[in-house]
Amino acid sequence: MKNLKLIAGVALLVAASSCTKVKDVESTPNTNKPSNFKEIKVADNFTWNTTNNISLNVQGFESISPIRNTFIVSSEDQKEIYFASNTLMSESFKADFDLPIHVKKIKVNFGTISKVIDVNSKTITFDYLMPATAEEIQ
Amino acid sequence: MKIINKIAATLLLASSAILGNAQSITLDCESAAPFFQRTPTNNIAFDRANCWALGAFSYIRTTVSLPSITGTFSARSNSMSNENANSSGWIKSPWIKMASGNITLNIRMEGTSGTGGALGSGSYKAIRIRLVTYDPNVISSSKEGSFLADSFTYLIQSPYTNVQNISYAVPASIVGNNNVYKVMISFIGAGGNNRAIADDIVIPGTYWTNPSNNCLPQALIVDADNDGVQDSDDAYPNDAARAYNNVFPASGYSTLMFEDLWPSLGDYDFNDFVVDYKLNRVTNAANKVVEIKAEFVSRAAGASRPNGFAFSFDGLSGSRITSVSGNKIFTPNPHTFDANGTEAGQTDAHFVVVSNIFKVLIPQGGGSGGVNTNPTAVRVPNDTTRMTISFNTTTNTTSLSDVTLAKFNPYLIVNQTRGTEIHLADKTPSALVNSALLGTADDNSNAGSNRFYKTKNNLPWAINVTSSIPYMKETIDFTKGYNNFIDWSVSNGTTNTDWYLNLSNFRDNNNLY
Repeated sequence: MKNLKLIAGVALLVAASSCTKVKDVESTPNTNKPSNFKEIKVADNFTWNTTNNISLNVQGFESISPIRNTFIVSSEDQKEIYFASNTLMSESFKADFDLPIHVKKIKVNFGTISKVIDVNSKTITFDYLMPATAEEIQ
Repeated sequence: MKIINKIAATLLLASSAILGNAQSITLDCESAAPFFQRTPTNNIAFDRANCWALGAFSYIRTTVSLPSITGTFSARSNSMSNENANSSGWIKSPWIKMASGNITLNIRMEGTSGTGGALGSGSYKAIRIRLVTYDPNVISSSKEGSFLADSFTYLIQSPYTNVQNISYAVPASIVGNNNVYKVMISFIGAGGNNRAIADDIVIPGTYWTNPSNNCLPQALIVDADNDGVQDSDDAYPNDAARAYNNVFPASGYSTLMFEDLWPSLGDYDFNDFVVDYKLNRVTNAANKVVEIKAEFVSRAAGASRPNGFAFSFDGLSGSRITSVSGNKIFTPNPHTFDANGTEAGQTDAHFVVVSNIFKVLIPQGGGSGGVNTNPTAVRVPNDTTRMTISFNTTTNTTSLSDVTLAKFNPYLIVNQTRGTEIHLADKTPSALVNSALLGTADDNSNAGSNRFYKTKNNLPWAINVTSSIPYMKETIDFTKGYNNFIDWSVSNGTTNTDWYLNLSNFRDNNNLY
């Protein structure tokens, strides 16, 4: 009986302390979060931009004979065109375009050569080479 | 007749540079793109980009135990134990217009297993060379037709591990016949587990493949205006001066929103002037900017003063502009203009869109006052200003990189006072700004460190949003309309980057006009 009382007491104490702990966390107000525009504080280098200017470094490919086509940078679903130019495949150049900050992938098309590129930095790279197949890497 | 003449006159070769003398097309496995190290994987990617195809083949780098035939790299087959030339290991060339001469390659076996017998026996290794015809009517995307009847089979001889040179004369019937062919080299055999090393494939002829068109043959393209951009890609197929539309934003409109009490803080409803815009930077086949077709939709003016609206592109000289049209300049105004329509007295080219916003968004009841910010007041129709800015395309030309959104610098001119400008954060004021106002009141500009139009806490007086979004009702704080805006801004733009999208629980429409 004494043991039962002891166990029940310990359990009650643990439960009480757990509840208190949870309550403490939930009731802690986020005093740092502004409630209106004037209270916002941002870093000096924050631009307030909702676009990023992206530089796509295109690495030209010297094909056996010169190939000219339209180089297109678009959204992944190709509904939005961000950049288009008349380009020699052998030409290395920089494609500058503006991309909404919520867009994280772009699609590059040069004729039927097509790649989806992750936008994880303001400077990204494209080349015309397609990855070798598993069979070729054996 | 007119249509026939037009098409006939404008058929162009996709690449005129391939009209030279016959070449030899080679596969030596040695090359990678210049920006990559030479490795088996990079070299095979390079050759694939030139439309060579390989089945059950890889590339090797020379080692003591597995030396290449020439150079540092060779091709290596899988085990040659398949007698079917279509499904065994193979190497297939790009499309070629064949010239006279011999198709040659070097080959050796890695060992002796599965060798010694005659063709068709249970133990032999052989090379088969065939020519693939082009057939535009086949369903397959490769458009490979039947094989030419003429083919060549070579039984690999002893000593099998020695390099053997294989040579096959191009059939005279196809030399110079103007058709295109692929050369398919199959590595067939039966028995054993023996691989071939191949190298130095040389095919006489002219490369006639377009890597940017599914590796199909070079083709005639239709280019009605003869500007070098095929009609299917040309936004202006009958206008040689124009080729591409480069529109920002890529769809719909962007929204600019201003507070107009600078250098003092306002109520941060960002509706003292609200304007949607899109910029179409039209380029020609040389990728130079021909003109900018700019569209500005004035939506609201929750201000009490007659402000004006203008823009520039940082660093874009007025000498590049030949004309400006479509802007709305009312009298009186505080501007003077050069002959090309840009504002006089400026260093960069400045374009006044509307000299007095209250002339296009007319306050109801006369006089001045807010327009389209109080839902109970009369709604004034939006006003669209369509401007065309023409660029010099012969000298001092302009590239897309000169007119990016990052260089777009829109601003308010307050109360018809030319020197009072309100720009986006850290955007440079024009040469006509009253610089005495910079850094006064709540403004913490510091021209010496290129800091402009920000408070000491780095708050702006204007916001540029990439999508067209609703603006705030009069006097309601901007953060009360966009539920994730504060999180985005206090994270310095690292989280909630989609705060402006119309997604569930992203907006409080009760506070939006």
